Amino acid sequence: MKPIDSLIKTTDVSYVYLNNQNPKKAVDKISLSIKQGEYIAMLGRNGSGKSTFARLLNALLIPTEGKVLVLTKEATNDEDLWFIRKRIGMIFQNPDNQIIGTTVEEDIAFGPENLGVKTIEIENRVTQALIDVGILDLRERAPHMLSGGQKQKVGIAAVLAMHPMCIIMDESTSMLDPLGREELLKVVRELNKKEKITIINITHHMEEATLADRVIIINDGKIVEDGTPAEVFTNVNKITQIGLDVPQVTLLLHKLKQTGHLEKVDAITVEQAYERIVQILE
Amino acid sequence: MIKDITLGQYLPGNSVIHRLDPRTKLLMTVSFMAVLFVLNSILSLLISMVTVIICYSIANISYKYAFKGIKPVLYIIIFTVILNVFFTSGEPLLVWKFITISKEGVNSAILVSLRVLTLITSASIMTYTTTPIMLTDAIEKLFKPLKKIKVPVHEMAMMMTIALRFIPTLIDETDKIMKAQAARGADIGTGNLLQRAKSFIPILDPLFISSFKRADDLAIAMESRCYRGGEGRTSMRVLKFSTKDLLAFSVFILFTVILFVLQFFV
Repeated sequence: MKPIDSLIKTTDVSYVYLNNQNPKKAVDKISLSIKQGEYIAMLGRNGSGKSTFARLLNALLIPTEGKVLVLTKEATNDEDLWFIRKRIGMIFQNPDNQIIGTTVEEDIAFGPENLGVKTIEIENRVTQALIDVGILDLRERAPHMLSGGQKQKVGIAAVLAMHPMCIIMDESTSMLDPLGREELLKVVRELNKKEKITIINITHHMEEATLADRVIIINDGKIVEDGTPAEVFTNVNKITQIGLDVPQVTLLLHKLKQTGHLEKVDAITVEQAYERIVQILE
Repeated sequence: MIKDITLGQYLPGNSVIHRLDPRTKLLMTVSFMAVLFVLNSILSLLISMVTVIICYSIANISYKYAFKGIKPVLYIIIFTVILNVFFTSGEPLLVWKFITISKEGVNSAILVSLRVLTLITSASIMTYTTTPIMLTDAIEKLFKPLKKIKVPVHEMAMMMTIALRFIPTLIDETDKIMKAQAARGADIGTGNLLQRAKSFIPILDPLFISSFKRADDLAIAMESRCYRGGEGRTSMRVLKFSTKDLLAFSVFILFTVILFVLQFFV
């Protein structure tokens, strides 16, 4: 299959919550293009509209204005809606509230069952998804016997069994311990590299964002930054102004720059910062 | 404390009874219960009881689990036995002062207690050897014809599945809330019945609210995984009747016939 240039394309997308007295514009004219195989981190404060935006991408919400195109299809009729949801999988924040099956195996089968996949094929898909995520040993476990990290891995396997092109993680690491988070990110990274699945990780953790190829920062429903982690995070003033953190090493270099020890801030990982500091010391 | 719910507890195993189709087990259990109500001779009921006990050993389930199911209804059984023994009129068997025990009374006491014991042990063996999800499947398949008269069979089965899935989760949560409220000085489970009932309000309240939140989250998760009702849905597990089931049914029918023959001719 030839690589598709633009997997998701949004043009001037807005979304307004109407359910209370004062309507709130959560997403405000976002135009964005996401390519197949990208690894994107999406950052923003609470209430910045990032989760709403994510839900627009897989047609859980339909935009008030503008267009969301997934492989050139728009969720205007039922058929296209299911087409989109099948390709854009999503895992959520609370691992407990997204497991439907009473065993791991059944939960993973839930998606393919909804798609009307044949029985034998479902078995294969479940097994393959379990292998891909590395939890084949949990196959017959009950969900309440799993740790948070394991539950989120089940969530990913469940989405994988539907053969998606993109997985959106809506703050899926926020309820996990550091070890669980690290393992989950490793799994996701592998899927991105090997299967070329587009990953959109919505997160609060700057360290997670540095792993991505592209960082998008949303504030008040608008995109304020979009670029590589190095480009985005070295812009320390702007990011702290929004109310977000930058990686600690970047902040350190920023201080060094302010005191005149450095000319520019261009490190987001410990290794890069180490090199810069060694240079100053020499 | 609240973790030991016995009803519907599955005991993993690989016996013939475990491997029977859940539909077979469900149908046989329900018809067996009906048969028990019709049976009216001590001998037939006794044979039924023994057969159920034999089933326990075939399924490799310890008898203590059979007793576990009986325990909650033990008082009811004792109560009905007393009622039957003392308050059934008929040919007197034993007279002491104002108490009269009749032959009929003893007879019906034995009948009722045997019947209830057999009922419960036979129903438990089904739940001990069948996973709840298999039972749900069986119910969905058996009631499928009702779809024609607009009974939402799939939706009901789905609700059962979700309920089963969330029972342990909600039990955990209840435990947490109880601890949290206890830490704030809530006094749970002391005092008279009314006070105890009242003390559960601060537990039920947050539990209710969080359940609604969970339901909302779950609905979104299901939608994002393309759930759109039972239409066009396939299933990973396919129930299949095998020769085992045919055999089980034949044995069951033969057994029932024998029971009735014994009742009417012996």
